[in-house]
Amino acid sequence: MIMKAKIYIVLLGALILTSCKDYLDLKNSNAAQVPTSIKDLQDILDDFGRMNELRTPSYAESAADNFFIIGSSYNSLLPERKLLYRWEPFDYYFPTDWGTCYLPIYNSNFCLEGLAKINVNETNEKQWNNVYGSAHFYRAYYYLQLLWTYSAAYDPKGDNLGRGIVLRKVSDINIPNQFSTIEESYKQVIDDAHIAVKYLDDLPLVKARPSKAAAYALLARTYLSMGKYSEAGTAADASLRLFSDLMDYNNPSDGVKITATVPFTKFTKETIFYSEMNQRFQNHTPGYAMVDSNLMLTYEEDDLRRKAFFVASGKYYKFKGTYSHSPYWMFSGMTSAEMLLVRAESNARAGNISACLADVNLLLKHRWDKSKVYKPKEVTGKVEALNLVLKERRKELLMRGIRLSDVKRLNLEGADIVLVHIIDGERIEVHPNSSKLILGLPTDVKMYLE
Amino acid sequence: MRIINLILLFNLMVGGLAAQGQKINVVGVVKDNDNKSIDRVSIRNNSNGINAYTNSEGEFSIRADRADTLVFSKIGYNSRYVLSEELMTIKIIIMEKSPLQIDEVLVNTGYQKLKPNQINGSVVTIDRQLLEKQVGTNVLDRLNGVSNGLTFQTGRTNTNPQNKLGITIRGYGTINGALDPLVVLDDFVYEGDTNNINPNDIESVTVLKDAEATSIYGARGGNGVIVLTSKKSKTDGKTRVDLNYNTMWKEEPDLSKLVNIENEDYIGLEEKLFSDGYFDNQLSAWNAPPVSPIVYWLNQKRKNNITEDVYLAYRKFYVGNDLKKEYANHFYKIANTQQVGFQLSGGDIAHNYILSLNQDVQKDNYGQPGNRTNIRIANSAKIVDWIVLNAAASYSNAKNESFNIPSFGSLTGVGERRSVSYLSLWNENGQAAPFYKYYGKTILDTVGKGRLLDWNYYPAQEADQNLSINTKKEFIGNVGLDLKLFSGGDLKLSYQRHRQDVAIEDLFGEESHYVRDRVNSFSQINESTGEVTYPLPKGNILAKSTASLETYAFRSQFNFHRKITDHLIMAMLGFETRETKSWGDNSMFFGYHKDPLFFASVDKTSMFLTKPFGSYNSIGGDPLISPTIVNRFVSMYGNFYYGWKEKYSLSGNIRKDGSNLFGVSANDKWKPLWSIGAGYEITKELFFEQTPFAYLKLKATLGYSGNVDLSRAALPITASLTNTLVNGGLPYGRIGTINNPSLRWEEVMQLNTGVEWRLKNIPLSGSFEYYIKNGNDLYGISSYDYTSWGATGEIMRNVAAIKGRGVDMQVTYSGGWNTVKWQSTWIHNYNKNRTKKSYYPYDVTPLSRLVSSSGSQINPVVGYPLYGLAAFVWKGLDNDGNPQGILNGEISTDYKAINNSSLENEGAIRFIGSAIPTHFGGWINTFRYKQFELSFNLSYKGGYYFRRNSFSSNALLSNGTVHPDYNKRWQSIGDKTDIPAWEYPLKKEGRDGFYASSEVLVEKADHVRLQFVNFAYNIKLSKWNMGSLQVFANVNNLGIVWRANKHNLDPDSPESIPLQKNYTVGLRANL
Repeated sequence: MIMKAKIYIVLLGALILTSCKDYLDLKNSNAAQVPTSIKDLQDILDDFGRMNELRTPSYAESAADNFFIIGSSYNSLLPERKLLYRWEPFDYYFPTDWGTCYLPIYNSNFCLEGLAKINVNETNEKQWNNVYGSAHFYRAYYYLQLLWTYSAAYDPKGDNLGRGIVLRKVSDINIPNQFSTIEESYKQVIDDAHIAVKYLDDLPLVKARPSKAAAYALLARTYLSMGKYSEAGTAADASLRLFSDLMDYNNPSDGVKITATVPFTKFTKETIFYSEMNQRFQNHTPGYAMVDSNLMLTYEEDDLRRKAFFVASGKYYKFKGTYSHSPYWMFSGMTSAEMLLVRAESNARAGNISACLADVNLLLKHRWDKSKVYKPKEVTGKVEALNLVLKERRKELLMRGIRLSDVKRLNLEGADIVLVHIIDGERIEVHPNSSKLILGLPTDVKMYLE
Repeated sequence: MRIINLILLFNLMVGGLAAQGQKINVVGVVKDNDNKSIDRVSIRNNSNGINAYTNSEGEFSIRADRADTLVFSKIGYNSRYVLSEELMTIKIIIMEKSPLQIDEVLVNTGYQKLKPNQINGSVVTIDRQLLEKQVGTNVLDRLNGVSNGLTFQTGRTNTNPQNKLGITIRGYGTINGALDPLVVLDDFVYEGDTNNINPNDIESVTVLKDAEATSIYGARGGNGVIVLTSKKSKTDGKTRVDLNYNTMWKEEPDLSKLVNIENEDYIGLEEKLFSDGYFDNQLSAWNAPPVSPIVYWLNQKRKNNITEDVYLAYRKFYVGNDLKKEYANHFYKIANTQQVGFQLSGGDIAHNYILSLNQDVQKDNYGQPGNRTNIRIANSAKIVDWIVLNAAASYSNAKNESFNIPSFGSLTGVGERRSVSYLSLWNENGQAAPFYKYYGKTILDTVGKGRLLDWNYYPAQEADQNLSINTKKEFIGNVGLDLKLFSGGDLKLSYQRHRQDVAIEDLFGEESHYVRDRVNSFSQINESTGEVTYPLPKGNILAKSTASLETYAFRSQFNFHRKITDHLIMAMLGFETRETKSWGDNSMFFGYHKDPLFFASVDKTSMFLTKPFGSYNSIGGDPLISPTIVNRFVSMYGNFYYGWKEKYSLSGNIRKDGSNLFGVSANDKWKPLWSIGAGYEITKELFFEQTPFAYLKLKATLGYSGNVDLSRAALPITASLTNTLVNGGLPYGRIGTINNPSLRWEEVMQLNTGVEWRLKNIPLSGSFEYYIKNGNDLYGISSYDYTSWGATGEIMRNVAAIKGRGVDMQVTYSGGWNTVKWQSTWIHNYNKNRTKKSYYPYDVTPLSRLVSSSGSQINPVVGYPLYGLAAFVWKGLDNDGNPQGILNGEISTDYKAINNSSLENEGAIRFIGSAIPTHFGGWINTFRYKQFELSFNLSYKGGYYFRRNSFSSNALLSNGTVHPDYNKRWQSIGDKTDIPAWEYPLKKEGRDGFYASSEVLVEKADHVRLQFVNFAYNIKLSKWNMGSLQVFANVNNLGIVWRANKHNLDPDSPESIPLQKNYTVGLRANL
């Protein structure tokens, strides 16, 4: 009898031991919000301060050739900015282009992990899909931005085994990071963007949020920078079918105040997806930077962009035409105009001259002073068409963090674009395929990754 | 009510029903296993309480009924319950020796009670006698100066709210983590306020120091453990009554240690600065900030509002003031604390109980009353042969009132002038004088044009206006079952519930400055009608807040104990779960009246134009609910001990903790904390018999314990915010604290080696221990691969490390001469630590961080002590009386460059040493002569440094603080002084800062204190068949008897109010 009782007591003890699963999962403060619901996750992606604003690499424009700095300004630059202007390597630390891109990637991964724990049903499917698609979009968007800045261009004819970027897909900071190849990296961008296309709604609630149109636009950007022009054209076309609004620069009701210091509103009529460059590197910002004089010459007299994009500063011009609320907060997002230019480039390369011209002329008509006559552009042949598109591309998309990747891409095709800065009579050049246009890793990350 | 119920319940459990029957005389013999008879065995008839003892032959005889149960008990033997009927046939009772020799003092580790020689780790027990040598109402305070290895770190500030005790055991094991040792009360972690505990209930305190002792507390034992063990009843069948009473007086605080210059000199300086126009900016400022009275009257004189004679009359008045004396006379009183305690205990092994009542009543130095009541009851009853039920409950209720009396230091502040010393609580006519702390006289005299309440602040009248009542209630209930499963195998189940409720009520009276100030500030005057409305109504303001804490803990522990020939095996295996929950709220009521109850409904959120400066403010005071914090721990632990011939022993602990504070991976990973130890009792060897040692044991342990920071969570925490309208105005969430599944406790590694000894012919014994204590995986800011997150360049992780080592030693002599007995214990501790790993990216000369610190906070600089002091190298004064340092190897007065930590500046800074004691100890002596007993304790601290204050021109100008070194300053070439010249206007930035951080102001802090003197007279009451009576008198904090510094400063409180002396008389009676 007693023996039996003793056995029961021991068994009871054993039972208590095994019955405390989940006991430790309780969060320790009811004031602490631990994001778990779909709404919580959507809120994390709606943190535009971390997902869109001051995010994309500033090196992409600061190391490009859309501007120059006059000698007296150069002399007052901090050492790092001088080295950057000379395309020489330098040590730099947090905050960096690297870090600003990996934060939205972290948030995306965090949300994807959170979604995996939520059962999808009829009532929550729409919200779930939006978070799922958005997270993939953001991740792909910033992977691409990192590739443009930290990697060599994708060679459509090569095997692309060079160093790409870190394809981070988990949120646990204890899991170490490894580089993937350029090939793997671009593949990941495309895979993620395709998922985004599948899950997102056609158009967004707010232009800081991703949409199906934005996901196609991202695909267009990606394929273009990979030199896969036909795919790029298809994607741009798909994006334009969903969203093709253009601003007429003559029309204040389209949100354009040509002569104002800040000519555009934050989410313009033609913005598909909004993002901004960070302010880590500022050589290109209107503080010191003057717009490249040769580039200035390409804008015709009746082109309203002359007034909308630029303001005279002495003999030269400063840039003010960013699609944000301040000339220092550089817009780096995607617009329908960019999609027109991608489609045009794709058509030009495929020999569809008239389709190409239709897009270019449509865009230019919206930029042209309506009191003056717009004479539609004419070209003969593929080469001329391509040259026209590339010129218009540079004129429309300057200071959006696109130029550097364009230079790398086009030089791979033999465009032979040489970047030149002249400092006190000293001529500094970056020749095609130079590794100088690939930003080195931040010093404080290098020790973990190299 | 609840308490009374509990008492009733216990008594029911206790009570046994006795059957009535025929009395007979039962006789027999008690023998042990070896058939040897045992003498002095207590035989108790459970039904009528009759007692008898065996004689030297082990024989006994007792009257009993046939059905009565007789209880045979003797210390060191297992008790036996025998029916008297059985004794008709069996005449020999065999009593087994109990496995634990209870006649020795057992050390309670909170999980086990062990014989001292079965412990290979480092523990120190402070017994009842030593605890009674000091008399404070907080039991932990009584450990000061008498506990080997434990230090009270005075004067250290800390921002971590988990640090409440100011006690360290063997120095520090953490940088940013919690510093307090773990407090354990009656086997369970105690998270209440230690002030709730009645010191008279505590039988002993055990301090667990090394890894072997603390690792059983796992992730919470890293800072050492203080185990408090409550009194239990003796089991000899006697009923005891203990009474004690004492009354303690504490002298008034000594304001004279707060230094200042003479009023005449101070006023002279103000006059000089006034004539130089220094105050003109303030006097003409639009908001007319408060200025000191002299400046105010000088200005009136300059404006010809008063004559020179009137000014001189004021000046004479101010020169003659003595605010310190006035403050002491008006506010300070001798504090008194009275403690009355009563204890009733009794019973035997079958059932015993203890009831204790305690009442403290006190009035502090401001005459603010307080009291505390403690009730405790504990019972232990054998239900059946193999089950013992233990139950205990304690309740405490403390109430403290505070009158919101301004501190002396706060009164000398006038606007930005911080120490205007010539003020008076009374004006020239002897009425309470207004003090101008926040608003100037000009403003207050004119702002309402007489339509507002008097806006002046009269410190002398404030005390009656405010009453803050702090009540604290605590309940602790314990229930436990001890089950004897088989011989040597016990299962112990215990459960504890603890609850503490704190309520604070701050009542600001209608006439208090606080209320008048707030009412006036929000008053709205209609200038056309002159009507005044009061959005914040006149009347009392009541602020209430509550904070509660609740803990549940359950433990199930299996103990095994077996001796097979020469082999002793002890082991235990346990499981423990614990939940601590805390919550609270705040609320505020305006226009409050208690009886008849009334309070106003107030618009707390709208913005009102406030007086006197016309800014828009809301009244505030919306009710607030504090977050509910729940901490859960689940732990498994085990322990083994193997001894051979009581000569060699091997022991070990292992513990695994899980908590909702740790990350998922930390919980999942099986990374237990552990320790191993070995002991060698060398005196048990034959070859050691010829030595002078009666006992000599060598021991060593190695292991790990942890330190949890309860304020850090591993989960991702978001803040909810809303995007700007431009961005669409959607709500968003931002992750502020990243999810770190690997976040876990800090780890403290300790290696301990020691020797314990006792001599044969001389009554001398002691111990010596050397230890290495390293903190690893400490919470610290670190760089990381921010590819993983990108939001910050650094994060808090388990990355930092510190190294420490030290010595604990103790020598005790207990002998004497003829009738005089002398017991003397010398405790000496040495502890040194330095930062091994700590990330701090920016400085080229890390030592500069130790220059700018006062040494009162942990400042981790790799290679230096946690509390370190460094100073600028001093090169004397130059020909203008400016201090000189070193810049790039040369003498310089470029203070900005010298102080620039981003430049390499060889030789400019000298590391001085630790800012906390590295050597400390005490010498405790007790002399007994017949019934007289005298004891005292000299405690000392050494091997550390402090910075003293001195004169600063900058401080004089910016906040009016003038150190008396002003009188010894450099004034002309040839002056033999290190105190820089008074400089106005200031010419060089950083001059005074350089001097303040220079090596001339660093002093050795070594000193010796007379901690207490205790005198007792013992009266034997055996004549009246009662116990004993002790009358005692005690004085503590007698002050410093020797110090290394020549400035007569107390290094623990330089130029601040020193600890006051306490005088106590009292008596203790055991009946």
